[in-house]
Amino acid sequence: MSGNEHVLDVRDLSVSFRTARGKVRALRHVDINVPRNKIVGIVGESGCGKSTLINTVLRLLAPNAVIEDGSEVIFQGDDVLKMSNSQLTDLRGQRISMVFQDPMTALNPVISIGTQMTDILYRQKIPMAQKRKRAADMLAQVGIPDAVRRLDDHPHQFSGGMRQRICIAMALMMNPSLLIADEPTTALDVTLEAQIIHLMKELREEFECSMLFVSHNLGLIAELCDEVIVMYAGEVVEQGEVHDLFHRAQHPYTRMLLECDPARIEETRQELPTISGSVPDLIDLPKGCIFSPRCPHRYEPCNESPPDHYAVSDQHSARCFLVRDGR
Amino acid sequence: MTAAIETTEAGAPIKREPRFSWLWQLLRDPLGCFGLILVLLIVLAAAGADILSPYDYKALDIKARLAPPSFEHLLGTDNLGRDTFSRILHGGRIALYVALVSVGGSLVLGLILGMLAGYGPRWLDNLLMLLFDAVRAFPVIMFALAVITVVGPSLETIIFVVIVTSVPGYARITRAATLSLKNTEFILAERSLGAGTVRVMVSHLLPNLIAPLLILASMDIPVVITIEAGLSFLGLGVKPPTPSWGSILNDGYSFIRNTPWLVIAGGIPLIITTLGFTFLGEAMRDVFDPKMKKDR
Repeated sequence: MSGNEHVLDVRDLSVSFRTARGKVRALRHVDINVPRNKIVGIVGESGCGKSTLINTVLRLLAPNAVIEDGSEVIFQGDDVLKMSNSQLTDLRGQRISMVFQDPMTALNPVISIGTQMTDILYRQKIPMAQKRKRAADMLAQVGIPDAVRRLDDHPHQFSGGMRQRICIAMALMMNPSLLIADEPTTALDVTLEAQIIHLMKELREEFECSMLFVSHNLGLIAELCDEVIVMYAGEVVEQGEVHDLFHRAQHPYTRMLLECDPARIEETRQELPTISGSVPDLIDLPKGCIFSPRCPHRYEPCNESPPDHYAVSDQHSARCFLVRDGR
Repeated sequence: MTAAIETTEAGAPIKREPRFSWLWQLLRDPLGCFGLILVLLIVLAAAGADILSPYDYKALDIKARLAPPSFEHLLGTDNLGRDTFSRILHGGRIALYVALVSVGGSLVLGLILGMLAGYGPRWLDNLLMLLFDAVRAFPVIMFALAVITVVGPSLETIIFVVIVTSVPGYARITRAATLSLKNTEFILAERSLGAGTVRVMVSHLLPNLIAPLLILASMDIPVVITIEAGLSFLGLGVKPPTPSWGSILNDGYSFIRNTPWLVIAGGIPLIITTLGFTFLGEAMRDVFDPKMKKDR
């Protein structure tokens, strides 16, 4: 695989937040890449750094965030971390755009959909009528009926599912090379979830863009993504192609995550399985493997030093001594 | 399947709101309608003062000094024999001019400063808030008296005083609203789609802020008119030949033993304006505030 095939290359990314208690090391040495025309899923529990990761890619981090030296976020050959503000404004919305979790709050309530959509095209010097036509086309494409007339409606006149479609249409207005979706279906009900996922699959064919899809719903990831990255407490613990990962999960965390998915439980039982313990304190990190305090398979090396990424196969690696030692 | 579900949803007849539906809602509210009529009356009277007034407001009619209302002088005359009705009309012009300029000025300034404080860096916020609190700590009339003593009485001084004292109010409200909007997801979404700081502030924050501020402004207009009348009453407002409701009241006060008509003529427009703008403001708040909406 050569570097050009990747739309996004995140190399050795570490991000910390300065807080009153000390430095919260939210991301540590994250290496991921998004190949062209692929959908990459990121899974992990709350607080594992998924949102920090995508906000770093767009440079929309909170002011107290520090990106550690040596980090690189290469998007189509340019380092996002070295960009000036005006370069970033160019990047956002045109080359990378984002769909947010809650469509109920992601649209400006007092401005009509048409205005919000044409506003994204402010960088293009084309007549307003043409911009509106493009907006209407996009709305039609994401399945909003009667698109032309609905351009003058305000967000509160749409249902949740339609709003998320509008958000997706807005994100695709400038035909970006990378679409980041931050749990785009979490706020929707299950039938809408399926529709949105279906829509995203269709659009990906049509617009030929890569996607970074964040979710904690394993079923969705399995359905939609080509590659999966499992994150835990600010580290990538396992990554690989979707089939490998779901059928030959190596890291104990991934396995436990899969066991906890209610859709995959086969025998009847009273209680849902959980992973006991909670995400470690990111200010004061354990010396060894980050997952060792919660890991049922931990043995001597786990407490000594953090494990490296060990290859399981060509495309599949896990950050666990079990893989190294072949246990 | 997708299309079917969404069409029934959207296919149901959507009630289109006519463009000026808010105006109808305003007119349906009896108090709002009343307020609007009063405000229109005042504005038309002030705007058409030159045409409507039967006499020159400076012309003296010495023989008919302190005359009671008659068909010749609709509201009587003052101590110099000037026609009170003409003076009230022209006084309304002054009152509205002061009110509109100073409320408009403080609205714009307050909006800009408040947005800067809310959206800008922390130090700027702290600095501006310190400044606002300092200004708000002055009593308005005391501050006005101090400024007038230094600069001398004039229309511009009144406007200046009103702007300085009411900017902090607008700015505080704008700042609070900006702070709560700043962290909403839609602002983040706009930034993620490539909106720069200025664009976020002007085309996304502003429309969210403007409605409550306009209502506040409409309710502030009578306050400003009373300040102007009050200062003119004290002889610190507009200079004599120019008529003002406040100075007419003052004349009436001096000659209350001779005739009650000057006080009545000076007082009634003040009452009408205050009531009109307050009713209008409250009705507008009910119409525009989605939380107050009952049946829509």
